Amino acid sequence: MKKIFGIVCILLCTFTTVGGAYLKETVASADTQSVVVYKYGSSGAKVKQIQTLLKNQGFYFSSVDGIYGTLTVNAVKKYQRTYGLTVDGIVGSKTASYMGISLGSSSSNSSFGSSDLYLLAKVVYAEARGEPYSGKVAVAAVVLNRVRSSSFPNTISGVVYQPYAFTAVDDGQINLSPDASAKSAAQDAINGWDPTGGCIYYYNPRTATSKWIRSRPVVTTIGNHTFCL
Amino acid sequence: MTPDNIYNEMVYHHHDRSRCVKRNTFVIVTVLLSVALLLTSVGWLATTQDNEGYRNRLENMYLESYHDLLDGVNDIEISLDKLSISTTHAYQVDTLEEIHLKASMLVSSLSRLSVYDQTTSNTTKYLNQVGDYAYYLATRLTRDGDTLTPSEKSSLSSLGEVSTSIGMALREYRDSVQAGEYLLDYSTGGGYADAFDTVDSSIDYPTLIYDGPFSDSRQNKTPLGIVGDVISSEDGLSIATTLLPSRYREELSYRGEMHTLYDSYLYTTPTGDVSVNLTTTGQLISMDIPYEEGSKDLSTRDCVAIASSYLEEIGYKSMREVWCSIYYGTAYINYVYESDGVLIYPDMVKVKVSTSTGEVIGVECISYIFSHTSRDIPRATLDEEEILLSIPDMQNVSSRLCIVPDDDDEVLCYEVYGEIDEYKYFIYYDASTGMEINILKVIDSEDGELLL
Repeated sequence: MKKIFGIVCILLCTFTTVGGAYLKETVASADTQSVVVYKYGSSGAKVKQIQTLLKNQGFYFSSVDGIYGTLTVNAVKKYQRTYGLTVDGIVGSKTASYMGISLGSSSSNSSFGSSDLYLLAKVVYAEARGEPYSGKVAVAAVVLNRVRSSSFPNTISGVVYQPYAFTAVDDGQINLSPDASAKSAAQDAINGWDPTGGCIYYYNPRTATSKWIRSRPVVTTIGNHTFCL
Repeated sequence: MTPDNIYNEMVYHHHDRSRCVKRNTFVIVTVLLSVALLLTSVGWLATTQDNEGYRNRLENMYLESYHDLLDGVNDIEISLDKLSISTTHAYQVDTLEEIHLKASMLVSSLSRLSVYDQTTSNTTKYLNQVGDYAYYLATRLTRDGDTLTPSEKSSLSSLGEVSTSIGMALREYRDSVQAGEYLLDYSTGGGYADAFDTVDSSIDYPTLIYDGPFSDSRQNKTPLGIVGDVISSEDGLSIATTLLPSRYREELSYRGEMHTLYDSYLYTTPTGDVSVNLTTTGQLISMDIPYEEGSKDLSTRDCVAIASSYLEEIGYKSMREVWCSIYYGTAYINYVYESDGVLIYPDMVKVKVSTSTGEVIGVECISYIFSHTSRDIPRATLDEEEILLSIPDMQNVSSRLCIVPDDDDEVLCYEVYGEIDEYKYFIYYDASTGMEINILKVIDSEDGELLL
């Protein structure tokens, strides 16, 4: 009996691996279709709309600035408590429907005027989401330094999508949605912050296998990344 | 029936049943295995066919870039040859502009090929410089109304030789390519990718010094703003701590020296979240502390006041705020140095202020470090009135004198601000020729605020 169970297990495993490849695509497309939630760190016109609504109904007393900070979180919590919703301070589809506002899809609600800035934030998130903040700014700065360098393409998208240039672009992690920290790191770099002093390469010394990259002059190490010229 | 028989009967029955179960199990396993095999094969077949399709389409895109590159390098080579025998102004300008355009297209074709970036970096640099140099020469010829000098022609023809060898190597590959060979297979070198080595080894083209962003002089420029004697890292630490809020001072320690176009000391807290970077002469390059949520909700005006007094405190005098934008609770304020009422844009310092805590959370002085020096500001030869006569029809017009960077140079300009149909523009007019140096359009007016 045990043997049969074992065989069935192996069979099931085969099914899931074969089926997995197809499933993945379905799940990924479902992700991009999902509705947006507004929470701490969000910003933009929709946040202004939420703040205005909360203010009109007497839940929010600060200025309508389009930035979802602590005061907005508290106001949303108060609103949710009053209407018997889950009190989490996040405006998801349920809270939004109570408020009578539509959240729309993720693509139409980007608070970025510039698509370059958003692309840069995606690279930062994909490549450096576990790094200290200055390590995130540093990754964004390397992209911009490459744009300025004569040895690389001359646009942000050219640099980002150059084959083999960034691991997280090659393996598809670039398509994850960036968080607030990645976005502000990208903003810092666009505004001129560069913790690397002009570096155009970086690598993780624990995983990098290329001898060539290890021969570059090292400028600094931030978190898990070594930055070089 | 004897007891013995009964026993035998029972044993028989037992054997019979267990054989039955075994047979059933065998059937189930066989059926399951066949179904699994069938599904796996169908899946495998579908995936293989998909992969084949994807691979071919991808390969075709690489081939398109490869052929663009092959043709383009050839065109540049021919244009450069033509320039060496051309003697008239108009033809030279046209051809130079053609080269500029072609080269920038080739840079993007090259960057789309499936090879590691370090393989193509020298060829990219070559193409960027050819295009940039051609653009510089076209601008010079247009401005001066003359033709190429012998030394410019000789620079161009040595650039042409590089194109010849890249083109030859790419063509050699095209002629030797076998069926079933994919560009995709040469990501780390070999095959057509070896064509890009020609720029490394076979030809040494001249160092190009001219006024352009990819000029060799630009890539190696020296910071003018670094002054004074080198100090020790300990002295640097005591300077660094004064730049931070008191709660971080204890934790800050020396992390090491950074060598780039200048030498600097890096100080951070153990987590790396707080950092101060100073030149080895003790001048501030950048300071950063983490953003924290607070209860305040400061206006642009409040943030500018905080940033201004911070700059004053750390020794930056005569700085004037010119621009402020707020993203995610952080105000980014740009300051430029002001001398005799003239704004010196190259000497820029940027300050970040948290709108919720009112704390300065970042300072960045790279531009200032590179360009700040004592300047002889020329007198404007044109009057403000003369300039304002020639501007387009705009509302809320204001103007002021400033110095703006223009390639390797600096130009004294009138900065004219005005609004047309809700759009805000800055136009920069050369204060001695009246030529438009630059026009800026304020794109995201919701996020930024002009500080006049």
